[in-house]
Amino acid sequence: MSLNKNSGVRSNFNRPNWKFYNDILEKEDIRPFIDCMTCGKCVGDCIAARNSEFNSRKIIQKILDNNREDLINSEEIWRCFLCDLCTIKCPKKIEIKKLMLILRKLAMQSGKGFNLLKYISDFPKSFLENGLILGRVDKSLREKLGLTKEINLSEKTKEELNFLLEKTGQKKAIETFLEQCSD
Amino acid sequence: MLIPNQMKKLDNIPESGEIFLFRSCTINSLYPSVEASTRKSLEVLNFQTLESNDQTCCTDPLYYSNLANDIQMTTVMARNLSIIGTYTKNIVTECNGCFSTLLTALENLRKPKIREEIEPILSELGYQLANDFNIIHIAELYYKVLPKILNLRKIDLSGMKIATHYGCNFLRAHPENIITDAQMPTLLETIIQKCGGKPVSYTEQDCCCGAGIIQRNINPDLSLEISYQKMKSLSRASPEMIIAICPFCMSTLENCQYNIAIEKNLELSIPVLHISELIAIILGFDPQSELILDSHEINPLPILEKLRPVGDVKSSKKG
Repeated sequence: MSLNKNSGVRSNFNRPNWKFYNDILEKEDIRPFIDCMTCGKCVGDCIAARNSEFNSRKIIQKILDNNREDLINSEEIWRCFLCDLCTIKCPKKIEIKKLMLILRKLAMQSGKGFNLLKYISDFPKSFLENGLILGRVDKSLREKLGLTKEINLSEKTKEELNFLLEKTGQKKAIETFLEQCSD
Repeated sequence: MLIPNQMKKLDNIPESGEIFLFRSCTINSLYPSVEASTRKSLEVLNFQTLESNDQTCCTDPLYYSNLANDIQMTTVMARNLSIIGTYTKNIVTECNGCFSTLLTALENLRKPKIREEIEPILSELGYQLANDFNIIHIAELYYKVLPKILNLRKIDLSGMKIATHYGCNFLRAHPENIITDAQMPTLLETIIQKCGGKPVSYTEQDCCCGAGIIQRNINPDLSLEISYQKMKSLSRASPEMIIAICPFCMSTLENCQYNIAIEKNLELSIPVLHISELIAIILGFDPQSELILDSHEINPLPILEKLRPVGDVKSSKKG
């Protein structure tokens, strides 16, 4: 892998074990974040950081320290609000939101996070059943407003959606997720 | 100051004619009054709204919980886009989730690796990939036709103090694809000011509503703390109303006020309206009988009684 490993200003410059970092870069669609200058602007404006132990700068450092297990077992990766305030302030435009989603994914692959994620299981359940994430509507209010009483996908659409979800493996992934949430 | 990409987008937003209204499950489910306001206002503003029962959900909450990867999310959206492409290339959304997912899907469809994977799957269903679209947030559409709104307006905002909340997925997920500065947005403030209102500024303007897509579900205490900090800062500017552009933010900003009163001892009751509802009011639709705005958690009708017809405000100024 041809990375410009010299472009960051880092204390561990001479003793890097960047297996975890390289793994992420190889497998995921994310721009190299070795450019992080550890300036801390991301943390200064972060709403999660000012209210919890979440610290995006330290998380990047942990990745460069090859601290995979620590991170995917941590509570902190689940604190990010995915609000992008960090990236808009970051001089290097590091994709921190994307990075947090990747860490969460790796945690989920190791069976972590389902104690939290079970609280969102209604979303994927409703999506599989109706093709809509929020399917419930107030029929009488809709009628009074002169809107169609119900929002229902056509049968053809439901069939096509089912075909796509099977083809891309999303259906299986959601079903497995729902099982893991109920364990 | 807009950058060239943003100016190009502003140029491409139509001023009338056919637009496809992308259905938002959150609007349909939680805020039908927004849906009604959008339809009524667009009709007055000379737009014809198209829509389709074949359109599925955008899957934004799944995408941001790793329950839809890029291929999966983009496949579902590519089907929607293929269908919409047979109608028009102008897609209008009332929800930041749909807005951001549509833009991400289009970005993905421009990546050859993703495109090559999705194309054969869709062609099995007889769909052809389409990726030439203008993805327009309804707030951007109103901004573009602001002169028309000012010509047609019946109600003046009568100096009402209004706080704005744009929402993260609009402002920062695709900052080059919105027609306002992501760090110093002025789009809503301009609309409010030109229509006679007084936009107020507050320190936590940039702050997330507290939803954090799934934080309200997975970390409710932290989520409420963020909402509290936002609302505390906002309430210091003593606005009479909050204008938001995303139903998910609206729901959080309304509901958090109840919890903040109980958990944080701060009593607030600031109505939250969607920009579509504000524009419908300005264009003269009755907030109670036509828009049923008392269906909101926090009833905005009492505060709306302050608003005067355009002529009244002008004559009282002269007098």
